[in-house]
Amino acid sequence: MHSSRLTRRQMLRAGVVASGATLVAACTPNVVKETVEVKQTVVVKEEVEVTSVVEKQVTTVVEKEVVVTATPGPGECEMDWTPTFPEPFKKYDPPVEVNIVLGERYDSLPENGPYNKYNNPMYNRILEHTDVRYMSKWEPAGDPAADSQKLNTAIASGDPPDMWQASGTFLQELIDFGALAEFKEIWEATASPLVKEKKGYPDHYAWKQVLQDGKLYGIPMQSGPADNDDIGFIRQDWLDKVGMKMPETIDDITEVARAWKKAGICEYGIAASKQLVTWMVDLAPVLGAYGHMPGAWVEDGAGGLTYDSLSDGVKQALAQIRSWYAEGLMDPDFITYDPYPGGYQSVSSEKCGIWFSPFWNYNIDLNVNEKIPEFLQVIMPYPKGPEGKQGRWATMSWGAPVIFRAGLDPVVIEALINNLNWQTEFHANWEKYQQYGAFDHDTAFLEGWDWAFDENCEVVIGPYPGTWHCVEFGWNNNPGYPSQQYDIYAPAFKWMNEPDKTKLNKAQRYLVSSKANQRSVEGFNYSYETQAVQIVNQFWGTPGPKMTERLPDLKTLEDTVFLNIIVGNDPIERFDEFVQEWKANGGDDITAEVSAWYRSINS
Amino acid sequence: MDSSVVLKEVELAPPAAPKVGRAKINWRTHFQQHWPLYVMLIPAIVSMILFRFYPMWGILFAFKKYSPVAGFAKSPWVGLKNFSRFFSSDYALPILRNTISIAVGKIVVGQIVAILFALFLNEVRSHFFKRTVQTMTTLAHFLSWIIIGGMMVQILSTKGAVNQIVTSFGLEPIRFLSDPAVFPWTLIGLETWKEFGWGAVIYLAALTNINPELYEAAAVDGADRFQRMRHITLPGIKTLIILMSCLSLGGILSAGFEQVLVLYNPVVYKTGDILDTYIYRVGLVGSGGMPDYSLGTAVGLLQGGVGFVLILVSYWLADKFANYRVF
Repeated sequence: MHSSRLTRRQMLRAGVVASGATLVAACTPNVVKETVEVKQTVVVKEEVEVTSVVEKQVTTVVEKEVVVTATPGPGECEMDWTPTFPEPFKKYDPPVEVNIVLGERYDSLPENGPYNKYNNPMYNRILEHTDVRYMSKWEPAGDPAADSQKLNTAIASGDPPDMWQASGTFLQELIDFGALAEFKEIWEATASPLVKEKKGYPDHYAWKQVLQDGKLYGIPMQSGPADNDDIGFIRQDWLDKVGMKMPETIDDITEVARAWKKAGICEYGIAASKQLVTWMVDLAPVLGAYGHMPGAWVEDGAGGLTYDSLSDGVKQALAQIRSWYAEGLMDPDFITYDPYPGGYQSVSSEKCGIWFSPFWNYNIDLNVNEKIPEFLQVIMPYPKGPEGKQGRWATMSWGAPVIFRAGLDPVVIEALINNLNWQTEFHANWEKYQQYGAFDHDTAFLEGWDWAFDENCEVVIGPYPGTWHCVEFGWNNNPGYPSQQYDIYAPAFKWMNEPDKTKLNKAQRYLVSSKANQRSVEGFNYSYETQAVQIVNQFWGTPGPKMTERLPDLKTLEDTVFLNIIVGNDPIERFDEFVQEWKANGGDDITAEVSAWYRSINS
Repeated sequence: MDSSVVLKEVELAPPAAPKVGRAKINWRTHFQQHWPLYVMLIPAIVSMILFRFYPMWGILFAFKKYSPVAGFAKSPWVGLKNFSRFFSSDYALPILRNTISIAVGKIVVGQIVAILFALFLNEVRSHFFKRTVQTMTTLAHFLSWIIIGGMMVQILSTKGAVNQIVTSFGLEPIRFLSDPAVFPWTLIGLETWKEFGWGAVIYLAALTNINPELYEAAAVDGADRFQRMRHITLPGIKTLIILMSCLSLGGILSAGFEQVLVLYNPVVYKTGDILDTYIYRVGLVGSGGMPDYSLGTAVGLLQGGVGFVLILVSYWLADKFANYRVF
């Protein structure tokens, strides 16, 4: 009788054949086609809630073939610059050991390289010049929620790392329960004048969270006004195709997107993602064109604050976005994807040609030009609303402060502050020290890794550029002061504007010849020069009890209502009901709480 | 033999074990006879105590205003405040309603499709075809929602594969993931698609227990395939259907956390937000970097409590309708 089942003999035979095939495959010489993953990493800060800032990493993986050409042998080309380092502020023998958790990116080390987690150029540099040996307390999961769980468990069990970052309610509780080291005396005696000046100590408002009753519990990590705010971008090649000029108003944007759609150039036109105001590919400048910004607390004219999501301007902006959606000028599915990768892809896959992102996103075309050579991204001015207003969400100028656990040896704290002194000196004066890796997220800028000599002995990109963010915690890659990005880009801007490039050294020429670097500087400049349009969230204190209890539900209500209005599930009149609901369900209490805080800090 | 008599007998006498009065057990003799079995039970009991019972002290979080900084002992007691906070929220009722309706939908639709699938697959003659189909339909069960969710967002998008078919008939595209009225059905449909193959396994196993003589006798008496299915197969697995339905009651407050989390968005919170996603958002993610462990635990405890009662009810129902008992 015939059976469709395999017999044991057949099974064995099949197994032998499969093993043989595997063996043959394994022994076959590899086809030599080397592909390299070039990870372009950009650190961005995402506004999560009113008080917390989470660092996110966007990784673009570009596959490219490495062309191996005859390069000059060792010693045939010479560096015409001499990298040096700032002098150590104080030596510690033996070096101090510090247990940390977050932001260790040793995973970005190239595989098969000679280096590991505790032995690589960046790690060794810190150890050698500042005598601080960073040790990993535990492996970060990479997911903010999971990492925060682990940290909370460690704190609850009385075994926190030596230094970490915290803000808002969490920070206040740590202070109140005596879990943090107080180090004002050490700070005053150790912090260099440059650090104090750059970080605006003690007057910059970021210090108010950690300076309480004359005691100091943390060091704020600040950023500049241009670092992460949105600017507008548009596809110049598409504008040319329809023969239209750069849009200046919201109506112009509508006209351009309409023309593109009509000409069959793209499916939609205007890019967005499921959060209206977020860290990239959002619609904040569209809302700003109506003079208001959801999520921001702004002055109410009577000495207090009011929640800007309730303003009539937001309603008008929602009506505008709703009409774009109804007309098919936006992706009907934008609410299902995140800014990255969904929002990003809606641009890179040519569905949309108008989007808003921070300056470091001024490179989408460069990433896709190999496939889409005509893709040309240019800066679009902030669109003007019906009353001629322009506006953008001002990302918080400070993230979670760095704090030390109670009981940490004062010598360790002192060494860490000296480490900050050294890093600040390094970043503020990188031109003087000829440390060209500082330009691109502080890489080691090593020959054979970050860069190489070409046949003309000019510096070109190396096989593993930008892979040295090894101990990126606190100030070890980023001293965190407001003008930091400006300090980094100002020299590069000067070199870019130098008409006679032969006056520059090879490393400088290499930096300014990169299209991506030119874009970064240009985008940053635009963002820096237009900071007058910022709509600033005036609430930066610790959330009070009402806000803690009620805001999560109210935020859910807001997100739900706004998006449902846009996609047409709810009529625009729903906005007025939302305002009433928001106020009745605890919003009025929160407003009173926040206004009382605002009056107290201004009195 | 008169087939109608046979059919009637089958309907009247479901294959159930008669209840037997419990005999007194001499534990000493019993243990001497069966001690290896008890030894084998030890690892299971230890892991049960370690991972199920020991962490239960954590439910005390629900009655405290827990702060990881203060630690458990120093966090203040707040009694039932966390519970009243949840119920005073505008979201409590919609979330409960969503959870129950989505879970019930998944149970009902899932059961029906699994049973129909088992019935039809049982009728297939080709052994090879039957096995292939069964393997293919079971495969989706082993994939995580993270993977399936990512694919489904694409497939169910307005210009995705499914809507391409829909619009090719001249219909409006269906907004599977952004229409609050459609979203729960999307969840139910996807869950059913993913699990029906796996759900059918137990029914297919039960079908092999039906005496083939019954089919042969019915065929001799002129019953066609549908009549045999209706009068022999279905009654043969009726007890199992009742049992499975009763037992699934216990999971009525768990409407599928991973699935909803990867598919939902604020537009469909109204009909798609469930207890588990709420607990996740409030209790683990929190706002301002501060998770509200206590509120999350309180809602989780509520869910566990109701689930416990429902399991007792389902156990009682299973005993009543299907004579199924564990103890």
